[in-house]
Amino acid sequence: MGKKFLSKFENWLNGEEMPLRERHVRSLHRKKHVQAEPLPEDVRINRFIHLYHVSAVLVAVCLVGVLLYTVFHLPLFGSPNNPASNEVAQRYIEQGLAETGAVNAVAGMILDYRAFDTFGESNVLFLAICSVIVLLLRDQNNIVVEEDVQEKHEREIEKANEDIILKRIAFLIVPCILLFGMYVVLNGHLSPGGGFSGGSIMGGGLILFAASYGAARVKLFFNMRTFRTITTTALLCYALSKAYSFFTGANGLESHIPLGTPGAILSAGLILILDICVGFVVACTMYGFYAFISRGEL
Amino acid sequence: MMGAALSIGPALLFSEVSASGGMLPWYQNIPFFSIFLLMIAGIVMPLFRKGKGGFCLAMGVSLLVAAMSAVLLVKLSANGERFTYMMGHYPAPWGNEIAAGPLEALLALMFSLIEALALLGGRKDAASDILEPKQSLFYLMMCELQAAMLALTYTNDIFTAYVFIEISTLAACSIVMARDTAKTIVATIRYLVISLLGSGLFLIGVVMLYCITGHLLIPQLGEKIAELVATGTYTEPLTIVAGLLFIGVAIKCALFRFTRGFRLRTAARRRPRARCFPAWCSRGISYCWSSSFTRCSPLSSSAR
Amino acid sequence: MKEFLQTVIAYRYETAAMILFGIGFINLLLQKNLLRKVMAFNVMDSSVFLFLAAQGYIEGRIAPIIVNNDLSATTYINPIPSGLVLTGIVVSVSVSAFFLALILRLYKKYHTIEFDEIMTLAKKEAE
Repeated sequence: MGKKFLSKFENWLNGEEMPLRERHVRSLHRKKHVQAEPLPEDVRINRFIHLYHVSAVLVAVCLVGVLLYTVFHLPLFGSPNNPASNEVAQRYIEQGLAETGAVNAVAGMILDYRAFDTFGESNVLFLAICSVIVLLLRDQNNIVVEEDVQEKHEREIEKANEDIILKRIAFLIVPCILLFGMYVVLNGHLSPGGGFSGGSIMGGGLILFAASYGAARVKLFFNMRTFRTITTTALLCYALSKAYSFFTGANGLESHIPLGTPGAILSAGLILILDICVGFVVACTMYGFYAFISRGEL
Repeated sequence: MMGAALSIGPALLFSEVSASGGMLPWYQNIPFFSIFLLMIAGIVMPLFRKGKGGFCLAMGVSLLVAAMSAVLLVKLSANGERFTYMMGHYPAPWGNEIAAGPLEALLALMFSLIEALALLGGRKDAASDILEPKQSLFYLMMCELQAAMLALTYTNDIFTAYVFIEISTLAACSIVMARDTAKTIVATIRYLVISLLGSGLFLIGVVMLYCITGHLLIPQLGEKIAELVATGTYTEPLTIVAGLLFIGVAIKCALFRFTRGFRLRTAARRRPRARCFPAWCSRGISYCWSSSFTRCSPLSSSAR
Repeated sequence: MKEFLQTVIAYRYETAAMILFGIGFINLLLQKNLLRKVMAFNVMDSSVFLFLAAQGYIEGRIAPIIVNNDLSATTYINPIPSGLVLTGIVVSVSVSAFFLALILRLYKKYHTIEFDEIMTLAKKEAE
């Protein structure tokens, strides 16, 4: 009896569950009475699907009804006396420039006042690209031979018929896109923009370049090693700067980081550095999504 | 700039403190260091080519954080102290904040120990099931999941909680599909869809709560809600917000019957129990949130 | 009826956001095609951002970029919802990308993106 219990416990510890069917069959044997003849399976499945759809639509209609009812009891749209316009928003605007050095009050808020949320958000992006790598990086589990053959065939056709228009236009446009992306990143604290939007623009430029000139050209300067180095360095720099800022802030120490003159590029303390780090991470991530989904490798 | 900061660092520890507040007692920095150590460990994980390095780093940081949480628990339960820690140079409600008391320290210790056991228990399977270049990414996900759990335990801010709930969802989905078979991927999609439904409801609840109260930090939320309940304004929205927040988190924790299938199917067969970490963590989310809501008790009283 | 219409017009952005949220929610739950689930999730999240952005708006005020050294809070809209929307968009993009990668893997294996077909094929494989 003890041995049986121990062997069962060991099985449980190792994750070997009793198959559900076996458990069900055993419980049926325990029931002495004979049950009525069940309905044929396809009828039961159809009924279930019908019931499922009806109940799901009912749930959705109820949800929308409840939400609309709530919305009509919320503060009025566009009113200056909303509870949300309180001393918090007031300080971000009135003292934001003096305390953070950023002309863009939203950038000051997300990268200085509420920087922990933005750090979490950058981590979400990093996690997403790592998950995509786990799923789509070519290895023995996810290579389909027929698809590889088909893709090779398509690449040969592509090489034979080069798209001159695309190449010429990309040659002119991609530098402008990358430059504009860099401008948006560097001016995040002075005008609408910042690391996330600028990084997406730069990522888009890289994607256009890869689509017109082929992946081989991009691999010359951007491969898995560069990707790893850039993302790790940028995120580490972000994490360490923010850790320093949080530690000094919580312990009441001076952070000794100069705020500069408002309106200059080199101002706003750590915000410029954080914008640059975030810009790099987002650009690499956007291009990474494109590369892994289209080819399975960087 | 970084070099300057690193050289200034040691000088700061012995420098004069500013008038706004003195150096905190050393143990009050523990929650901040636990969260950041785990996140930094996750960030450097892709640099490891072999799984063994990743495992050692993840295990080491887990045990270190467990030890730090144990020390914090001992210190805080000695006098029942509870403190808040400014994340930045600005006090609440303008900046982020984390808060810790004996319960949070105990939860952090529990999560760290579970994580260490899960890593230890799943080590052989991870080494055999997951392909070599991707093993360090698996340990990255485990570190980030633990960081998200700790951040949820300690956070005093409802929007930070939303962001870290999303981190834990992504990390948990990646852990479920680490084995890279079609079955685990189907399980991941089902888990992801239901989690997204829960997140969407939770986010709408948070947004409406901000709309009514104008605050995102939990103590200020509590005060403002007590005020609203006392004056009888916005009673229906408050009730519905409480319902939305509860249902959102409950869906994510697979508390409802229709999600029962996930709990059985996400644990693929012949896998050590330790790999049911995502399911334990979703329970953990509910425990964290129940403790947060007891702090914000006027919210629950308005729902009656 | 007239009052109801007036309320709807007064809260037009919030109403639109809630209807879109319901549409996104029900499609995320019901659609069999996985790609449509991703689109529904994006509609759902975008509706939340619309709701948030509408919360921040105050009639007659400009975007919170300090101009002309005017530091009074009555010139600018509320900057907090804009920051929250920024975080939300990044989270939404990350989750969408992850979801799409999952769909791609399933397609490579089963050559279909209808979820019920995938489940049937997966069950058959298990037997």
